[in-house]
Amino acid sequence: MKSFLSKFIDRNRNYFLLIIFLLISLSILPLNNHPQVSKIKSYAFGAFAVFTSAVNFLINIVSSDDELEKQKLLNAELMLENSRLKSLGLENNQLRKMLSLKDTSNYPLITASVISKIVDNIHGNMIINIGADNNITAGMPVINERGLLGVISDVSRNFSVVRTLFNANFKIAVMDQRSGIEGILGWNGSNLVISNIAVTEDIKIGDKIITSDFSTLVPPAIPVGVVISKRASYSGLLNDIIVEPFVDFGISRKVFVMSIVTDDEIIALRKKIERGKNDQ
Amino acid sequence: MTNKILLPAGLFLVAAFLQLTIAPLLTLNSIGPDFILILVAYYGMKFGQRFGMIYGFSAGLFFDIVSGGMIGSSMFSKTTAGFTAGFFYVEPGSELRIDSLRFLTVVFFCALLDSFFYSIFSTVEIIFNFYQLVFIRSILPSVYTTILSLPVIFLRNRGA
Repeated sequence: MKSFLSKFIDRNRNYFLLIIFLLISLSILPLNNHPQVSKIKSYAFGAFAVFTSAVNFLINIVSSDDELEKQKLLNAELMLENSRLKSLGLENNQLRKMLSLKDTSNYPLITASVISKIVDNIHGNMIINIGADNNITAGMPVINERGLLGVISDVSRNFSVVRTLFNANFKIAVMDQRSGIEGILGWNGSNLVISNIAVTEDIKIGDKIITSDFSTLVPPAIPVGVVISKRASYSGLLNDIIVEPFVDFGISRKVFVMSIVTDDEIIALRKKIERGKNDQ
Repeated sequence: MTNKILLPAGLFLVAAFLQLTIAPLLTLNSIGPDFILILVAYYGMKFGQRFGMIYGFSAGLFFDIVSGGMIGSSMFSKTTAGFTAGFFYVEPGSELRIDSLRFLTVVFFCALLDSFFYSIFSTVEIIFNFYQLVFIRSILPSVYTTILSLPVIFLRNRGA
């Protein structure tokens, strides 16, 4: 019996090893949001990012254009200002009687270079060449001269990971700038979609989508994209709104981090909600 | 030691580096090549199932960490790919060689499995339909990766 067992194990050793490896992989998957795992990730990607930044440095030497960079920064600032003024104008028309409108104040923009990207269908991440030493913290929004790109998700000393709009795990509160209809925007692997909007809601093709006042992640009125189509969901009572982003993830090489420090109370509440999710 | 550890590790660093810097430039409509998978398939064929599996597991873990992705997803898919490549192991001294058609076929099947499992395990937020999962997320990237594995054959032939 014993020899049969040992023979069996010996003969199928590779299969046992495969099962062990696959079980390890699967058991690690749910631990991704664990603080210790995040810490290990931030150290490791920071170390490897040094190599990739060297290549980026060489590319930048070849195609460096300081004037263009300055213009892009100026464009990004003007884009934010323009969007803010448009939103305020629309709000002003609709809510004349309100005395205190939301403050979409100016935030300092920190310029960064993209040193690597993950462009698969699910995880649109990028690594930029600024980190904790530049006062970057997780949760800061990242934009380019056209609009919102994503938020910082992990930070090491000199590098940061940006979770972009094209990441299935990134959801953000947005609104239709014209009608003020709110929704949650997410990436479905092919498109940016605002899901489950009632068919009666006033959203038209061509409407501009901006970040919402209700977003705890990013300030309001940052341009996100434009509505290109509506798709009826299964029930027929709800629509999925397809949004074409203003930013082109593939060609973004210079980005700007909005130096926003999220309120401690909001962070505490968000952590509480995430803990609740993990406990379920 | 050099042949089985240092060279594969060094080549992995090169492949990971290419994956993070060059692959995004070659990506068309979110469909891009996987340089690491080509290496995993190659070493699975060259050194067998166990080596392919361990190599795929380590490469997947390392890539998940340095890319800021979801740890475990590439580990799972690359381990499966390395194991599958090991079925086509060519024993040293045997008449069978890693010829071009054989290599391309193995890369295609490994890439197919890799993309398929990666799509399933890398997120719980997206539910793909059958067409998306099989055609867009598995077959198209696999074809792309297979095409980009052609230089490996030329390099091998030149080295031989």
